[in-house]
Amino acid sequence: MPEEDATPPALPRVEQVGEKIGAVAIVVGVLFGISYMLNESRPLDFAYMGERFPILLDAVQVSLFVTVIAYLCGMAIGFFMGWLRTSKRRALRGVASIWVEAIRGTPLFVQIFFLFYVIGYFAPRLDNRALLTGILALMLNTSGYQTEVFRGGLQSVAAGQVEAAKGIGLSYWRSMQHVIFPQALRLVVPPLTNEFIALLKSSSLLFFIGVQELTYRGRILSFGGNLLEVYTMVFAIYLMITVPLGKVVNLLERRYRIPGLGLQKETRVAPRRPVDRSSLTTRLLFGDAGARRRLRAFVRRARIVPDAPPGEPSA
Amino acid sequence: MIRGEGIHKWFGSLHVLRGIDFDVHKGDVLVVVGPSGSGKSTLLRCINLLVPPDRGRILLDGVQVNSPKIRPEWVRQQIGMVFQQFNLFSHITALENVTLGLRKIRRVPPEAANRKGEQLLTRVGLGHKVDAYPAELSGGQQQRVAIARALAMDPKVVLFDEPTSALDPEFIKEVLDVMTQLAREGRTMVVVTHEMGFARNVANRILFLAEGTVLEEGTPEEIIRTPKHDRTRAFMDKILE
Repeated sequence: MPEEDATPPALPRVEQVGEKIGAVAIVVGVLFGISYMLNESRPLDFAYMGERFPILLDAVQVSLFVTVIAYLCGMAIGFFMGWLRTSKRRALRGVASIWVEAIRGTPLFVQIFFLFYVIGYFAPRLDNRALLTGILALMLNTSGYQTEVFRGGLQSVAAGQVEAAKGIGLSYWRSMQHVIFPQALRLVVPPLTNEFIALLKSSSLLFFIGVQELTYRGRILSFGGNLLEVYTMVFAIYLMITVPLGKVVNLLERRYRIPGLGLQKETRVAPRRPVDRSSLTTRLLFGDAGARRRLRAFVRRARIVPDAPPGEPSA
Repeated sequence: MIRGEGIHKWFGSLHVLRGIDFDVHKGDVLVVVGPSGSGKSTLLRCINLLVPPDRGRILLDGVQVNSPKIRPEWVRQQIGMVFQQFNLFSHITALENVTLGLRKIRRVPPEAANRKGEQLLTRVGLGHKVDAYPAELSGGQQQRVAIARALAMDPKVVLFDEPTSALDPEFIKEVLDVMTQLAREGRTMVVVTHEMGFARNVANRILFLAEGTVLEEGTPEEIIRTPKHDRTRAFMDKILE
Protein backbone atom coordinates (compact mmCIF):
# COMPACT_ATOMS: atom_id res chain seq x y z
CA MET A 1 0.00 0.00 0.00
CA PRO A 2 2.09 2.88 -1.24
CA GLU A 3 -0.27 5.65 -0.06
CA GLU A 4 0.41 4.53 3.52
CA ASP A 5 3.87 6.11 3.47
CA ALA A 6 3.00 9.22 1.48
CA THR A 7 2.90 12.37 3.61
CA PRO A 8 -0.71 12.76 4.56
CA PRO A 9 -2.47 16.10 4.05
CA ALA A 10 -3.00 18.22 7.16
CA LEU A 11 -5.52 16.28 9.18
CA PRO A 12 -8.47 17.89 10.86
CA ARG A 13 -7.61 18.01 14.53
CA VAL A 14 -9.61 15.06 15.66
CA GLU A 15 -9.39 16.09 19.30
CA GLN A 16 -10.91 19.44 18.47
CA VAL A 17 -13.71 17.82 16.56
CA GLY A 18 -14.34 15.54 19.51
CA GLU A 19 -14.37 18.48 21.88
CA LYS A 20 -16.92 20.32 19.77
CA ILE A 21 -19.10 17.26 19.53
CA GLY A 22 -18.91 16.92 23.33
CA ALA A 23 -19.94 20.54 23.81
CA VAL A 24 -22.83 20.19 21.39
CA ALA A 25 -23.92 17.02 23.19
CA ILE A 26 -24.02 18.81 26.53
CA VAL A 27 -26.01 21.73 25.14
CA VAL A 28 -28.46 19.39 23.44
CA GLY A 29 -28.78 17.38 26.64
CA VAL A 30 -29.50 20.47 28.70
CA LEU A 31 -32.04 21.69 26.15
CA PHE A 32 -33.69 18.28 26.26
CA GLY A 33 -33.78 18.41 30.03
CA ILE A 34 -35.31 21.86 30.06
CA SER A 35 -37.88 21.03 27.45
CA TYR A 36 -38.77 17.93 29.45
CA MET A 37 -39.29 20.06 32.52
CA LEU A 38 -41.32 22.55 30.56
CA ASN A 39 -43.57 20.07 28.81
CA GLU A 40 -43.80 16.82 30.69
CA SER A 41 -43.54 18.13 34.17
CA ARG A 42 -44.35 21.45 35.73
CA PRO A 43 -42.65 24.37 33.96
CA LEU A 44 -39.94 26.39 35.70
CA ASP A 45 -41.55 29.29 37.52
CA PHE A 46 -39.63 32.18 36.04
CA ALA A 47 -41.59 34.80 37.94
CA TYR A 48 -40.60 33.11 41.19
CA MET A 49 -37.00 32.96 40.06
CA GLY A 50 -36.94 36.65 39.14
CA GLU A 51 -38.39 37.54 42.50
CA ARG A 52 -36.02 35.46 44.62
CA PHE A 53 -32.87 35.96 42.62
CA PRO A 54 -31.80 39.11 44.56
CA ILE A 55 -31.95 37.15 47.82
CA LEU A 56 -29.47 34.68 46.45
CA LEU A 57 -27.31 37.47 45.09
CA ASP A 58 -27.12 38.82 48.65
CA ALA A 59 -26.15 35.38 49.87
CA VAL A 60 -23.41 34.93 47.32
CA GLN A 61 -21.77 38.01 48.75
CA VAL A 62 -21.30 36.10 51.98
CA SER A 63 -19.83 33.19 50.03
CA LEU A 64 -17.45 35.51 48.24
CA PHE A 65 -16.53 37.38 51.42
CA VAL A 66 -15.67 34.19 53.28
CA THR A 67 -13.80 32.77 50.30
CA VAL A 68 -11.77 35.88 49.52
CA ILE A 69 -10.69 36.48 53.12
CA ALA A 70 -9.83 32.81 53.65
CA TYR A 71 -8.06 32.65 50.31
CA LEU A 72 -5.86 35.68 50.93
CA CYS A 73 -4.92 34.71 54.49
CA GLY A 74 -4.36 31.16 53.30
CA MET A 75 -2.15 32.53 50.57
CA ALA A 76 0.07 34.32 53.08
CA ILE A 77 0.45 31.11 55.07
CA GLY A 78 0.83 29.01 51.93
CA PHE A 79 3.49 31.28 50.51
CA PHE A 80 5.49 31.11 53.73
CA MET A 81 5.06 27.37 54.14
CA GLY A 82 5.83 26.73 50.48
CA TRP A 83 9.02 28.63 50.93
CA LEU A 84 9.87 26.56 54.02
CA ARG A 85 9.25 23.44 51.94
CA THR A 86 12.18 24.47 49.73
CA SER A 87 14.43 25.23 52.69
CA LYS A 88 17.82 23.62 53.04
CA ARG A 89 17.08 22.88 56.69
CA ARG A 90 15.37 19.57 57.32
CA ALA A 91 13.51 20.77 60.39
CA LEU A 92 11.86 23.65 58.52
CA ARG A 93 10.96 21.39 55.63
CA GLY A 94 9.53 18.92 58.15
CA VAL A 95 7.27 21.51 59.78
CA ALA A 96 5.89 22.53 56.42
CA SER A 97 5.30 18.95 55.26
CA ILE A 98 3.45 18.07 58.45
CA TRP A 99 1.25 21.09 57.79
CA VAL A 100 0.52 20.00 54.26
CA GLU A 101 -0.05 16.35 55.09
CA ALA A 102 -2.37 17.10 58.00
CA ILE A 103 -4.51 19.38 55.88
CA ARG A 104 -4.54 17.46 52.65
CA GLY A 105 -4.92 14.11 54.36
CA THR A 106 -8.24 14.91 56.06
CA PRO A 107 -11.63 15.84 54.62
CA LEU A 108 -12.51 19.53 54.67
CA PHE A 109 -15.88 18.59 56.07
CA VAL A 110 -14.28 17.03 59.14
CA GLN A 111 -11.93 19.98 59.50
CA ILE A 112 -14.90 22.37 59.56
CA PHE A 113 -16.73 20.41 62.27
CA PHE A 114 -13.57 19.83 64.26
CA LEU A 115 -12.80 23.55 64.32
CA PHE A 116 -16.40 24.39 65.05
CA TYR A 117 -16.39 22.29 68.20
CA VAL A 118 -12.89 23.27 69.24
CA ILE A 119 -13.78 26.94 69.02
CA GLY A 120 -17.06 26.27 70.75
CA TYR A 121 -15.21 24.53 73.56
CA PHE A 122 -12.74 27.34 74.17
CA ALA A 123 -15.00 30.29 73.43
CA PRO A 124 -18.56 29.20 74.05
CA ARG A 125 -19.96 32.70 74.11
CA LEU A 126 -18.41 33.86 70.86
CA ASP A 127 -20.61 35.87 68.50
CA ASN A 128 -20.36 34.89 64.86
CA ARG A 129 -18.92 31.54 65.82
CA ALA A 130 -20.05 29.95 62.59
CA LEU A 131 -18.66 32.68 60.36
CA LEU A 132 -15.32 32.76 62.16
CA THR A 133 -15.03 29.00 62.12
CA GLY A 134 -15.90 29.00 58.47
CA ILE A 135 -13.27 31.53 57.52
CA LEU A 136 -10.65 29.86 59.70
CA ALA A 137 -11.38 26.39 58.37
CA LEU A 138 -11.27 27.44 54.74
CA MET A 139 -8.13 29.48 55.39
CA LEU A 140 -6.27 26.56 56.96
CA ASN A 141 -7.50 24.21 54.28
CA THR A 142 -6.48 26.37 51.34
CA SER A 143 -3.14 27.18 52.96
CA GLY A 144 -2.24 23.50 52.77
CA TYR A 145 -2.99 23.32 49.09
CA GLN A 146 -1.40 26.67 48.32
CA THR A 147 1.76 25.56 50.13
CA GLU A 148 2.17 22.88 47.52
CA VAL A 149 1.45 25.31 44.71
CA PHE A 150 4.10 27.74 45.92
CA ARG A 151 6.59 24.96 46.56
CA GLY A 152 6.14 23.79 42.99
CA GLY A 153 6.54 27.32 41.66
CA LEU A 154 9.69 28.00 43.64
CA GLN A 155 11.21 24.67 42.73
CA SER A 156 10.61 25.13 39.04
CA VAL A 157 12.75 28.25 38.97
CA ALA A 158 15.96 26.91 37.47
CA ALA A 159 18.96 26.52 39.75
CA GLY A 160 21.02 28.53 37.27
CA GLN A 161 18.85 31.57 37.95
CA VAL A 162 19.74 31.47 41.62
CA GLU A 163 23.40 31.06 40.81
CA ALA A 164 23.34 33.95 38.34
CA ALA A 165 21.60 36.20 40.87
CA LYS A 166 24.29 35.41 43.41
CA GLY A 167 26.89 35.78 40.69
CA ILE A 168 26.12 39.44 40.05
CA GLY A 169 26.35 40.11 43.77
CA LEU A 170 22.71 40.09 44.89
CA SER A 171 22.22 39.08 48.50
CA TYR A 172 19.94 36.17 49.36
CA TRP A 173 16.97 38.44 50.03
CA ARG A 174 17.48 40.58 46.96
CA SER A 175 17.82 37.58 44.68
CA MET A 176 14.58 36.23 46.14
CA GLN A 177 12.90 39.58 45.67
CA HIS A 178 14.09 40.40 42.15
CA VAL A 179 14.67 37.03 40.53
CA ILE A 180 13.17 34.00 42.25
CA PHE A 181 9.78 35.28 43.45
CA PRO A 182 8.83 37.13 40.25
CA GLN A 183 9.50 34.03 38.20
CA ALA A 184 7.81 31.67 40.63
CA LEU A 185 4.73 33.89 40.93
CA ARG A 186 4.16 33.76 37.20
CA LEU A 187 4.19 29.98 37.28
CA VAL A 188 1.67 29.71 40.10
CA VAL A 189 -1.09 31.89 38.63
CA PRO A 190 -3.03 29.07 36.92
CA PRO A 191 -2.95 26.65 39.86
CA LEU A 192 -3.82 29.48 42.27
CA THR A 193 -6.83 30.37 40.13
CA ASN A 194 -7.96 26.77 40.28
CA GLU A 195 -7.52 26.84 44.03
CA PHE A 196 -9.73 29.92 44.34
CA ILE A 197 -12.47 28.30 42.31
CA ALA A 198 -12.17 25.11 44.37
CA LEU A 199 -12.34 27.12 47.57
CA LEU A 200 -15.45 29.00 46.48
CA LYS A 201 -17.13 25.70 45.79
CA SER A 202 -15.93 24.30 49.11
CA SER A 203 -17.45 27.27 50.91
CA SER A 204 -20.83 25.68 50.25
CA LEU A 205 -19.95 23.09 52.91
CA LEU A 206 -20.17 25.83 55.50
CA PHE A 207 -23.95 25.65 55.38
CA PHE A 208 -23.63 22.67 57.73
CA ILE A 209 -22.41 24.90 60.54
CA GLY A 210 -24.90 27.61 59.71
CA VAL A 211 -22.93 30.17 57.73
CA GLN A 212 -25.53 32.02 55.70
CA GLU A 213 -23.82 31.69 52.38
CA LEU A 214 -25.31 30.91 48.99
CA THR A 215 -26.04 27.23 49.51
CA TYR A 216 -27.50 27.84 52.97
CA ARG A 217 -29.87 30.56 51.76
CA GLY A 218 -30.78 28.49 48.76
CA ARG A 219 -31.63 25.58 51.02
CA ILE A 220 -33.79 27.79 53.24
CA LEU A 221 -35.57 29.14 50.16
CA SER A 222 -36.10 25.65 48.83
CA PHE A 223 -38.16 24.74 51.88
CA GLY A 224 -40.88 26.85 50.20
CA GLY A 225 -41.21 24.03 47.69
CA ASN A 226 -39.62 25.48 44.55
CA LEU A 227 -36.63 23.16 44.72
CA LEU A 228 -35.92 23.11 41.04
CA GLU A 229 -36.03 26.88 40.61
CA VAL A 230 -33.87 27.53 43.65
CA TYR A 231 -31.17 25.04 42.84
CA THR A 232 -31.14 26.09 39.19
CA MET A 233 -30.37 29.61 40.38
CA VAL A 234 -27.75 28.46 42.90
CA PHE A 235 -26.16 26.37 40.21
CA ALA A 236 -26.16 29.28 37.77
CA ILE A 237 -24.72 31.75 40.29
CA TYR A 238 -21.74 29.51 41.08
CA LEU A 239 -21.15 29.12 37.37
CA MET A 240 -21.45 32.87 36.78
CA ILE A 241 -18.48 33.35 39.07
CA THR A 242 -16.28 30.38 38.30
CA VAL A 243 -16.44 30.36 34.51
CA PRO A 244 -15.72 34.07 33.85
CA LEU A 245 -13.01 34.09 36.52
CA GLY A 246 -11.12 31.33 34.78
CA LYS A 247 -11.51 33.12 31.44
CA VAL A 248 -10.40 36.49 32.80
CA VAL A 249 -7.30 35.04 34.41
CA ASN A 250 -6.48 33.25 31.20
CA LEU A 251 -6.87 36.50 29.27
CA LEU A 252 -4.61 38.36 31.68
CA GLU A 253 -2.06 35.58 31.40
CA ARG A 254 -2.02 35.96 27.65
CA ARG A 255 -1.90 39.73 27.87
CA TYR A 256 1.09 39.77 30.21
CA ARG A 257 2.85 36.76 28.80
CA ILE A 258 6.65 36.75 28.92
CA PRO A 259 8.28 34.65 26.22
CA GLY A 260 9.81 31.53 27.68
CA LEU A 261 8.04 31.74 31.03
CA GLY A 262 4.88 29.86 31.94
CA LEU A 263 2.24 30.04 29.24
CA GLN A 264 3.63 29.37 25.79
CA LYS A 265 2.54 31.04 22.60
CA GLU A 266 0.07 29.02 20.59
CA THR A 267 1.34 27.88 17.26
CA ARG A 268 -1.24 28.92 14.68
CA VAL A 269 -0.24 26.51 11.96
CA ALA A 270 1.28 23.27 13.04
CA PRO A 271 4.46 22.96 10.98
CA ARG A 272 4.40 19.21 11.09
CA ARG A 273 1.57 16.77 11.40
CA PRO A 274 0.36 17.08 14.99
CA VAL A 275 0.69 14.09 17.24
CA ASP A 276 -2.72 12.59 17.34
CA ARG A 277 -3.43 11.71 20.93
CA SER A 278 -7.03 10.73 20.50
CA SER A 279 -7.80 7.09 20.87
CA LEU A 280 -7.97 4.77 17.92
CA THR A 281 -11.70 4.36 18.49
CA THR A 282 -12.30 8.10 18.26
CA ARG A 283 -10.27 8.36 15.11
CA LEU A 284 -12.05 5.46 13.51
CA LEU A 285 -15.42 6.89 14.45
CA PHE A 286 -14.58 10.35 13.22
CA GLY A 287 -13.16 9.34 9.94
CA ASP A 288 -9.37 9.27 10.05
CA ALA A 289 -8.62 7.34 6.89
CA GLY A 290 -5.04 6.62 7.98
CA ALA A 291 -6.22 5.02 11.21
CA ARG A 292 -8.65 2.82 9.36
CA ARG A 293 -5.90 1.77 7.00
CA ARG A 294 -3.51 0.99 9.83
CA LEU A 295 -6.18 -1.04 11.58
CA ARG A 296 -6.74 -3.07 8.43
CA ALA A 297 -3.00 -3.63 8.11
CA PHE A 298 -2.79 -4.68 11.74
CA VAL A 299 -5.64 -7.09 11.38
CA ARG A 300 -4.04 -8.58 8.28
CA ARG A 301 -0.67 -8.96 10.02
CA ALA A 302 -2.31 -10.59 12.98
CA ARG A 303 -3.85 -13.05 10.52
CA ILE A 304 -7.29 -12.39 11.79
CA VAL A 305 -8.35 -12.39 8.19
CA PRO A 306 -6.79 -14.82 5.71
CA ASP A 307 -3.71 -13.76 3.79
CA ALA A 308 -4.21 -11.78 0.65
CA PRO A 309 -4.33 -14.04 -2.40
CA PRO A 310 -0.96 -14.55 -4.13
CA GLY A 311 -0.03 -11.98 -6.74
CA GLU A 312 -1.36 -9.02 -4.77
CA PRO A 313 1.35 -6.98 -2.98
CA SER A 314 1.25 -7.59 0.75
CA ALA A 315 1.20 -4.84 3.39
CA MET B 1 45.22 41.44 41.15
CA ILE B 2 43.66 38.10 42.01
CA ARG B 3 45.57 35.30 43.64
CA GLY B 4 44.81 31.87 44.96
CA GLU B 5 46.98 30.15 47.51
CA GLY B 6 46.68 26.47 48.35
CA ILE B 7 42.99 26.14 47.56
CA HIS B 8 41.33 22.93 48.66
CA LYS B 9 37.75 21.89 48.20
CA TRP B 10 35.92 18.76 49.26
CA PHE B 11 32.44 17.71 48.15
CA GLY B 12 31.66 15.21 50.87
CA SER B 13 34.54 12.77 50.71
CA LEU B 14 35.47 13.81 47.17
CA HIS B 15 38.62 15.90 47.14
CA VAL B 16 37.96 18.14 44.13
CA LEU B 17 40.68 20.75 44.48
CA ARG B 18 43.96 19.65 46.01
CA GLY B 19 45.96 22.73 46.72
CA ILE B 20 45.73 25.08 43.76
CA ASP B 21 47.84 28.22 43.37
CA PHE B 22 47.37 30.85 40.71
CA ASP B 23 48.12 34.50 40.16
CA VAL B 24 46.37 36.80 37.71
CA HIS B 25 47.72 40.27 37.12
CA LYS B 26 45.75 43.26 35.91
CA GLY B 27 45.01 42.87 32.20
CA ASP B 28 45.94 39.19 32.17
CA VAL B 29 43.90 36.51 30.50
CA LEU B 30 44.30 33.22 32.32
CA VAL B 31 42.89 30.22 30.50
CA VAL B 32 42.18 27.10 32.54
CA VAL B 33 42.06 23.82 30.63
CA GLY B 34 41.92 20.20 31.65
CA PRO B 35 39.88 17.03 31.31
CA SER B 36 36.33 17.02 32.64
CA GLY B 37 36.14 16.44 36.34
CA SER B 38 39.51 18.04 36.92
CA GLY B 39 37.95 20.82 39.01
CA LYS B 40 38.03 23.74 36.53
CA SER B 41 34.50 24.90 37.18
CA THR B 42 34.85 24.44 40.91
CA LEU B 43 38.01 26.52 40.88
CA LEU B 44 36.19 29.32 39.08
CA ARG B 45 33.33 29.15 41.57
CA CYS B 46 35.80 29.26 44.42
CA ILE B 47 37.20 32.52 43.09
CA ASN B 48 33.88 34.36 43.43
CA LEU B 49 32.89 32.28 46.46
CA LEU B 50 29.84 30.68 44.85
CA VAL B 51 31.57 27.61 46.24
CA PRO B 52 33.55 28.66 49.28
CA PRO B 53 36.99 27.00 49.42
CA ASP B 54 37.55 24.73 52.42
CA ARG B 55 41.22 25.63 52.78
CA GLY B 56 43.56 28.20 51.29
CA ARG B 57 43.21 31.87 50.52
CA ILE B 58 41.69 33.94 47.72
CA LEU B 59 43.21 37.41 47.53
CA LEU B 60 41.61 40.26 45.62
CA ASP B 61 43.96 43.23 45.43
CA GLY B 62 45.85 41.81 48.38
CA VAL B 63 42.76 41.42 50.57
CA GLN B 64 41.79 37.93 51.64
CA VAL B 65 38.18 37.62 50.57
CA ASN B 66 37.27 34.13 51.78
CA SER B 67 37.07 35.34 55.31
CA PRO B 68 34.12 35.55 57.67
CA LYS B 69 34.73 39.28 57.95
CA ILE B 70 33.90 39.85 54.30
CA ARG B 71 30.44 39.53 52.76
CA PRO B 72 30.55 37.26 49.72
CA GLU B 73 28.11 39.60 47.91
CA TRP B 74 30.65 42.38 48.13
CA VAL B 75 33.23 40.13 46.50
CA ARG B 76 30.89 38.99 43.75
CA GLN B 77 30.01 42.56 42.89
CA GLN B 78 33.64 43.05 41.91
CA ILE B 79 33.94 39.79 39.98
CA GLY B 80 31.78 39.24 36.92
CA MET B 81 30.77 35.75 35.95
CA VAL B 82 29.58 34.25 32.66
CA PHE B 83 28.01 30.81 32.87
CA GLN B 84 28.00 27.88 30.51
CA GLN B 85 24.19 27.92 30.34
CA PHE B 86 24.00 31.75 30.12
CA ASN B 87 21.52 31.86 33.03
CA LEU B 88 19.92 35.10 31.92
CA PHE B 89 17.01 36.10 34.14
CA SER B 90 14.14 34.86 32.04
CA HIS B 91 11.43 37.20 33.34
CA ILE B 92 13.11 40.46 32.29
CA THR B 93 14.43 41.91 29.04
CA ALA B 94 18.03 41.91 27.86
CA LEU B 95 18.48 45.51 29.01
CA GLU B 96 16.95 44.82 32.41
CA ASN B 97 19.23 41.82 32.77
CA VAL B 98 22.24 44.01 32.21
CA THR B 99 21.08 46.81 34.51
CA LEU B 100 19.65 44.74 37.37
CA GLY B 101 22.81 44.92 39.43
CA LEU B 102 23.24 48.65 38.76
CA ARG B 103 19.67 49.44 39.74
CA LYS B 104 19.28 47.18 42.74
CA ILE B 105 22.77 47.09 44.20
CA ARG B 106 24.42 50.30 43.10
CA ARG B 107 21.17 52.26 43.25
CA VAL B 108 22.04 53.93 39.95
CA PRO B 109 19.07 56.01 38.70
CA PRO B 110 17.15 54.24 35.91
CA GLU B 111 18.14 56.64 33.10
CA ALA B 112 21.84 56.35 33.84
CA ALA B 113 21.57 52.58 34.26
CA ASN B 114 19.71 52.23 30.98
CA ARG B 115 22.23 54.40 29.16
CA LYS B 116 25.06 52.24 30.42
CA GLY B 117 23.13 49.07 29.68
CA GLU B 118 22.47 50.16 26.10
CA GLN B 119 26.14 51.04 25.64
CA LEU B 120 27.20 47.63 26.86
CA LEU B 121 24.68 45.82 24.68
CA THR B 122 25.85 47.85 21.69
CA ARG B 123 29.40 46.85 22.49
CA VAL B 124 28.51 43.17 22.29
CA GLY B 125 26.63 43.85 19.07
CA LEU B 126 23.11 43.70 20.48
CA GLY B 127 22.09 47.36 20.51
CA HIS B 128 18.97 46.37 18.57
CA LYS B 129 17.88 43.69 21.03
CA VAL B 130 17.55 45.71 24.24
CA ASP B 131 13.86 44.91 24.65
CA ALA B 132 14.04 41.24 23.74
CA TYR B 133 13.38 38.61 26.38
CA PRO B 134 16.02 35.88 26.76
CA ALA B 135 13.75 33.26 25.20
CA GLU B 136 13.60 35.38 22.02
CA LEU B 137 17.37 35.36 21.56
CA SER B 138 19.66 32.75 20.07
CA GLY B 139 22.20 31.02 22.29
CA GLY B 140 25.00 33.22 21.00
CA GLN B 141 22.98 36.37 21.60
CA GLN B 142 22.01 35.23 25.09
CA GLN B 143 25.63 34.59 25.95
CA ARG B 144 26.62 38.04 24.69
CA VAL B 145 23.91 39.60 26.86
CA ALA B 146 25.33 37.59 29.75
CA ILE B 147 28.76 39.05 29.04
CA ALA B 148 27.28 42.57 29.02
CA ARG B 149 25.58 41.77 32.32
CA ALA B 150 28.87 40.61 33.81
CA LEU B 151 30.53 43.85 32.69
CA ALA B 152 27.81 46.16 34.00
CA MET B 153 29.17 46.36 37.52
CA ASP B 154 32.65 47.34 36.26
CA PRO B 155 34.20 44.20 37.71
CA LYS B 156 37.91 43.93 38.37
CA VAL B 157 37.95 40.52 36.78
CA VAL B 158 35.50 38.49 34.69
CA LEU B 159 35.22 34.72 35.04
CA PHE B 160 34.04 32.64 32.08
CA ASP B 161 32.85 29.10 32.76
CA GLU B 162 32.96 27.26 29.42
CA PRO B 163 31.09 30.11 27.73
CA THR B 164 30.83 28.39 24.34
CA SER B 165 30.22 24.77 25.36
CA ALA B 166 26.44 25.04 25.30
CA LEU B 167 26.33 26.88 21.98
CA ASP B 168 25.48 25.60 18.54
CA PRO B 169 28.65 25.68 16.41
CA GLU B 170 27.49 28.64 14.31
CA PHE B 171 27.26 30.88 17.39
CA ILE B 172 30.64 30.11 18.94
CA LYS B 173 32.59 32.62 16.91
CA GLU B 174 30.46 35.65 17.79
CA VAL B 175 30.96 34.96 21.49
CA LEU B 176 34.69 34.33 21.17
CA ASP B 177 35.01 37.54 19.14
CA VAL B 178 33.46 39.56 21.95
CA MET B 179 35.76 37.88 24.47
CA THR B 180 38.81 38.54 22.30
CA GLN B 181 37.83 42.17 21.99
CA LEU B 182 37.51 42.44 25.78
CA ALA B 183 40.96 40.92 26.22
CA ARG B 184 42.40 43.42 23.73
CA GLU B 185 40.86 46.24 25.76
CA GLY B 186 42.85 45.03 28.74
CA ARG B 187 40.07 43.30 30.65
CA THR B 188 41.32 40.89 33.32
CA MET B 189 39.80 37.51 32.63
CA VAL B 190 39.87 33.92 33.86
CA VAL B 191 38.46 31.59 31.23
CA VAL B 192 37.65 27.90 31.46
CA THR B 193 37.37 26.67 27.89
CA HIS B 194 38.18 23.96 25.40
CA GLU B 195 38.66 26.49 22.59
CA MET B 196 42.39 26.09 21.98
CA GLY B 197 42.37 28.67 19.17
CA PHE B 198 41.14 31.27 21.62
CA ALA B 199 43.64 30.13 24.24
CA ARG B 200 46.53 30.35 21.78
CA ASN B 201 45.64 33.81 20.49
CA VAL B 202 44.37 35.52 23.58
CA ALA B 203 45.70 33.91 26.75
CA ASN B 204 48.75 35.18 28.58
CA ARG B 205 49.00 32.02 30.57
CA ILE B 206 47.41 28.62 30.57
CA LEU B 207 46.77 26.51 33.61
CA PHE B 208 46.45 22.80 32.98
CA LEU B 209 44.41 21.14 35.68
CA ALA B 210 44.14 17.41 36.29
CA GLU B 211 42.49 15.69 39.23
CA GLY B 212 42.36 18.85 41.26
CA THR B 213 45.98 19.90 40.91
CA VAL B 214 47.83 22.25 38.58
CA LEU B 215 49.75 19.82 36.45
CA GLU B 216 51.39 22.45 34.35
CA GLU B 217 51.37 26.20 33.92
CA GLY B 218 52.92 28.33 31.20
CA THR B 219 52.46 30.44 28.12
CA PRO B 220 50.08 29.15 25.42
CA GLU B 221 53.14 28.24 23.34
CA GLU B 222 54.59 26.09 26.12
CA ILE B 223 51.37 24.34 27.07
CA ILE B 224 49.93 23.78 23.60
CA ARG B 225 53.08 23.19 21.51
CA THR B 226 55.63 21.81 23.93
CA PRO B 227 53.89 20.39 26.97
CA LYS B 228 56.25 18.90 29.52
CA HIS B 229 53.82 16.46 30.98
CA ASP B 230 52.53 13.32 29.29
CA ARG B 231 48.99 13.97 30.51
CA THR B 232 49.03 17.45 29.04
CA ARG B 233 50.38 16.19 25.75
CA ALA B 234 47.78 13.44 25.55
CA PHE B 235 45.02 15.96 26.28
CA MET B 236 46.28 18.44 23.70
CA ASP B 237 46.64 15.75 21.05
CA LYS B 238 43.09 14.69 21.64
CA ILE B 239 41.60 18.16 21.63
CA LEU B 240 43.61 19.56 18.72
CA GLU B 241 43.18 16.77 16.22
